[in-house]
Amino acid sequence: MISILNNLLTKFKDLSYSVLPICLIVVLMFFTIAPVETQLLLRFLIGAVLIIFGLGIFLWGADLAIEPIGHLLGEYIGKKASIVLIFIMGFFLGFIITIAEPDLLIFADQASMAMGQVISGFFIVTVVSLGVGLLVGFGFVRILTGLPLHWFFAVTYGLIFLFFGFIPEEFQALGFDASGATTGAMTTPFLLALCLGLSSLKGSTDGEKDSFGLVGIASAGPVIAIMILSLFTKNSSEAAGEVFHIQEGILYPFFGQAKVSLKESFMALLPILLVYLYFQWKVFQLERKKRRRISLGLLYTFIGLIIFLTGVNGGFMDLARMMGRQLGAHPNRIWLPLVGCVLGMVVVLAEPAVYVLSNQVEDVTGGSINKKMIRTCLSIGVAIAVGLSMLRIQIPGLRLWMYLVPGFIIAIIISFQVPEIFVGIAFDSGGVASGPMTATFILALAQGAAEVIPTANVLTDGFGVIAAVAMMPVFSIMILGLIYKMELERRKK
Amino acid sequence: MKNYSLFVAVVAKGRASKVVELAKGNGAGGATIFYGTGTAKNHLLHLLEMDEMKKEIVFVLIPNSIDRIIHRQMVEELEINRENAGICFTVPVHTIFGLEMEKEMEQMITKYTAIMTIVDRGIGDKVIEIAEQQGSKGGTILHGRGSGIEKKRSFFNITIEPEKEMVFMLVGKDQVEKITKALVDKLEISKPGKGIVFTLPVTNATGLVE
Repeated sequence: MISILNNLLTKFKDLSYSVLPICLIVVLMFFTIAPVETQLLLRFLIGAVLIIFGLGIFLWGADLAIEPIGHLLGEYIGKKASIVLIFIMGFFLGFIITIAEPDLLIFADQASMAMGQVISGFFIVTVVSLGVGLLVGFGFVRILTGLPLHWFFAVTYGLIFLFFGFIPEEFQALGFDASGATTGAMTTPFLLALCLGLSSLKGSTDGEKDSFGLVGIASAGPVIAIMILSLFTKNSSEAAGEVFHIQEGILYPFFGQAKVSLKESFMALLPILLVYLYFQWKVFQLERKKRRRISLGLLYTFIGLIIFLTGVNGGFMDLARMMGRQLGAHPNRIWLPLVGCVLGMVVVLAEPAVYVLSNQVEDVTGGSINKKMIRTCLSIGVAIAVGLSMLRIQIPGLRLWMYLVPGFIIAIIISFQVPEIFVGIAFDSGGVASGPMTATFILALAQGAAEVIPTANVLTDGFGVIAAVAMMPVFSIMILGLIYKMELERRKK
Repeated sequence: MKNYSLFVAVVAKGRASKVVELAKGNGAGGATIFYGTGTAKNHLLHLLEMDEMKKEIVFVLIPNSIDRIIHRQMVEELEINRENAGICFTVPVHTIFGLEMEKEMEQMITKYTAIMTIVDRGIGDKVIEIAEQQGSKGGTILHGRGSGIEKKRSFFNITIEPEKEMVFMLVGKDQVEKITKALVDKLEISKPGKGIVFTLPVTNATGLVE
């Protein structure tokens, strides 16, 4: 009995290790360069506890429910004989999980304002969902036909950068932010599992290289959708983003946030729940024991996500915003990029999808590519991304495309050299790293800094962070792929 | 020449590398590690569907002389005798090909033999194909990672453990030699880094269709 409790405790201990570094750094900053109100620090610490528990419960549920549902569905769809039918199913799944994504709704309203309200927020949500749907459909077909991923990404990002020449910088940033908003806590594990289910039909050896990549493919959808939309809106009015209020009180903000999180978690879970219920009724007809596991799992993901989001939004957002302001105004300009780097490094470890992805990589490769490597690479990637973004906020001459274009081009060149599985993992990592944690904490930090730096623009500089966070992990995982390949070749000799 | 046995340990996920370290420290060669799941025996956790535990299974060939030492160290250093901490056991080995050697142990005559082949990822199908040409009835492929004899080099603190496949085949005693010989020849097992083939005595088997 004691050892079982120990087992559970070990799980939470593991998670604490990924949340504690953030706490340590924030507390350190509190006593040194960024002394925010004590009230905010207390809220942050309560938030951290909520995040540890929320994350633990959510991940347990994802393992019990989201993973098997995605897997079963992938296997079922892959057995369909017609390519058209497979495409339609991919399109449908991609569309409904995106249109229900709560982050996307918030994003679309901001984007609508940025585009001078020529287009309604709802229209943007629809177009982005269509974009994701089309690409998921295409991604499904790709897995089964075995078209190499590096070619797919070479063409897709080639197209995206072509668009870059014609649209203003705000929209370049907005496009990538849309992709960050669509790869939410619930959708990412689901897409990962779908991909694994589909590729497993090709047999474990052949399927392995196609086990990843669907998240990466799906997150190109919103970028393209926003780019096309922005071609039709000449107006690039200076929308300042929402007016920001720091909430008062220590416990009160959590209650307010819990209500919002409840709604958001429900919305995010709903499409997966409905799809599961329908397929369970018509196709799977699982036995009682398995139904029970999945039902409990769905309940865990729901409760876990509520707690997690409450912790992040109630405890982390305001503090990050305030720290951003203080660091932005700090006379020594080195602190902002430096602290950004360190925070980026640790924040990504508390991202739910990072766990799901790294565990899945370990399972698929039998532990050969272990989760420590993946997480280390993501940490390094996001650290550089956030550091560079903070520099960009400080230095007006640095433009977003100067990071994105060379970064992606080099990553794509490397992708022709590394084992194919790394191409999938790398592009998936981009979507995985830009999840709810990064989008809240790092975005708030960047926007806080941009507010107080006169040359900065809250909209472009803030959103540009997400774009950088979506790019750098792709790059760093490709480098890991190169190292891996070189090491294997060295061993052969 | 030393006699060899197969040492198998089932431990909680993440602890396999400790087992390998321990075995290597005592002079064992490479190890192969697989993932699996087990459950904890607890009613409440079962009710909450929280009783599943991830496991790692380690296979390593060890000289008989270190068998006792390893088992003792498993207790001392990994506390394997505690509840839910795992198990480990040793199985006698008939013959070994690979490890840059070819070796036959004292044989216990049994009606059946299990042929275990450990090769690089993707070669498992070929192993079964070769064996089937020689009359084997098929095999089972396990997918895991290998931890070789070569000294690990850490590059940015990253240790690469290449993907491996272990093929498990059960054959009658009259087929063993033919099949293992074919495997050793066609897979070039005697060359370093090509894999390893070893056989285990099996005292009884049901389900092999003649």
